[in-house]
Amino acid sequence: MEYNESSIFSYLQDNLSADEKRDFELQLQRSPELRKKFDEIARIYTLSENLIRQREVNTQAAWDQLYRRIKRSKTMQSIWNFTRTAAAILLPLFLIYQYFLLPEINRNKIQQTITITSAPGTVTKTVLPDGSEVWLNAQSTLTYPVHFTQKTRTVKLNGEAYFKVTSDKEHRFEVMTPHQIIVSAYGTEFNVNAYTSANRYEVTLAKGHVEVSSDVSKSQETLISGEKAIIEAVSGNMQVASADTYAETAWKDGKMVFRREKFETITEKLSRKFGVNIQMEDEKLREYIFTATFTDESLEEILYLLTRSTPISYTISNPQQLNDSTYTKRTIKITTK
Amino acid sequence: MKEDLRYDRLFSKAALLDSEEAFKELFFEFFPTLCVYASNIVGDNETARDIVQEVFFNIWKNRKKIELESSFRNFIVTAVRNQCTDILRKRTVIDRFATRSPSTVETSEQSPEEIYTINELEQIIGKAIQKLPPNIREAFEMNRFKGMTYNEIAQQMSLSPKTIEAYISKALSILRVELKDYLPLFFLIF
Repeated sequence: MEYNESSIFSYLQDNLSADEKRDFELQLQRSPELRKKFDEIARIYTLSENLIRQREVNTQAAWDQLYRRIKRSKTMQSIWNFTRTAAAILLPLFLIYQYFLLPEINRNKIQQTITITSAPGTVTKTVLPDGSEVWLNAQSTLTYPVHFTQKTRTVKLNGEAYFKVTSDKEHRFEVMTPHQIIVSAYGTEFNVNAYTSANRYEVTLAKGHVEVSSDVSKSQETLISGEKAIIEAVSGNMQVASADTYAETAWKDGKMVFRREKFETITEKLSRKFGVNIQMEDEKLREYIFTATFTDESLEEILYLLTRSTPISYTISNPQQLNDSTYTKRTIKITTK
Repeated sequence: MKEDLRYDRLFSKAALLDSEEAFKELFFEFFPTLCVYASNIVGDNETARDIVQEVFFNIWKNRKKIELESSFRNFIVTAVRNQCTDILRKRTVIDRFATRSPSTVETSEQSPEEIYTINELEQIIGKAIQKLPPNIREAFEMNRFKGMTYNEIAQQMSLSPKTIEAYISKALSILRVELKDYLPLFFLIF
């Protein structure tokens, strides 16, 4: 059978019967002339097919969709631009606030401090802004800021205090004492004995560990619990010794515990606790060693007990009125029998 | 017949003057042909449509940065082809993991110059068909563009099917000559 253009076209449009189709394909393989003609007509078919398919594309709908997308991205773009501009303006302002104004504000804040003083014969307990507890022994002064805003929590102590420090790994707790002794910790319990009048200071550790350093001697020691550091006030020389924590910290519970203490030390503590002057007539008395525990005894009772165990006697002189209408402390004179 | 100069100008207008009108014109020229082209590669119209839309969107977004090396046609066809190849590559990877049967990727070998926009094609084919005698043209258009069989056309035109077959043969012989310039470039997959 001879195949003309129209039957080739029918084949391409799939309008031939199965038999005709099979026969056509067979011819196509055998006849190169038919093949050539077929190729050309197939191309006309493809070209027009392409146009038909293009006409079926819904360009308008696609454009509407694309246009919405472009508008949306434009809006996003302008929001982004606005944000960027805003950030460019706000960021420097923020940095100025963070690094210039805020430290300045904090510096001003730290100047607002609280100072508490324990009167003779009393133990004062206070809670610091960070929740740390402090027992302040008689005739001691503690100064601390209203808010802890600095990198370290710094307090100033003159006298004796027992600290129960709330743990805060980010902020060191530092106690500054006269003669530039610094006790620092993160969260422990310790006793600091640093009366300006004394010629040596003591830091006794109850729990955890603390660092004790002296700016005068540039020395530094780390204490573990049950140890104490003894620092020469003037030279700053430091010594670590084992401590009797109970005896050292008994004062905060209202007790006076003396274990092989010199009489000198005892009278010092007594005078502080009872707010009296104690004078010793005989220098030798200072070196006497006592061991005793007092809880709620009065001064007279204590003195009486001392006279029972030692060859001493005492006299109490009553307060004298001074010219400026104030009174002196009671004075106790101790003499050897 | 080709309007590359016009398209390149439209693109410059869109890019430099931010003319949405010019961009829209380009879209209406190229969207149909690129959809057909992409569909030939990826095999379905939906994916093809998404690909071409994405390409247009990116062109608008990056219009300030685009530098046409040869022509807009060349640029956009290449962009669509690359996008299609990407999709196919991803599919191949997924297929390989899903069925372990590597599917072969065949990209159309049409060069960008052979991609005619819808208006170009209308003109090319329209002009060639104008050369056909009226009766023959009518029969050919009914067959090709309305999808009617020879018998249906014969009935409509009150002629014998044999006559219609002869008409179609005649039409095709003329078109072979008229479309000579465009034919060898077309690629056919059978």
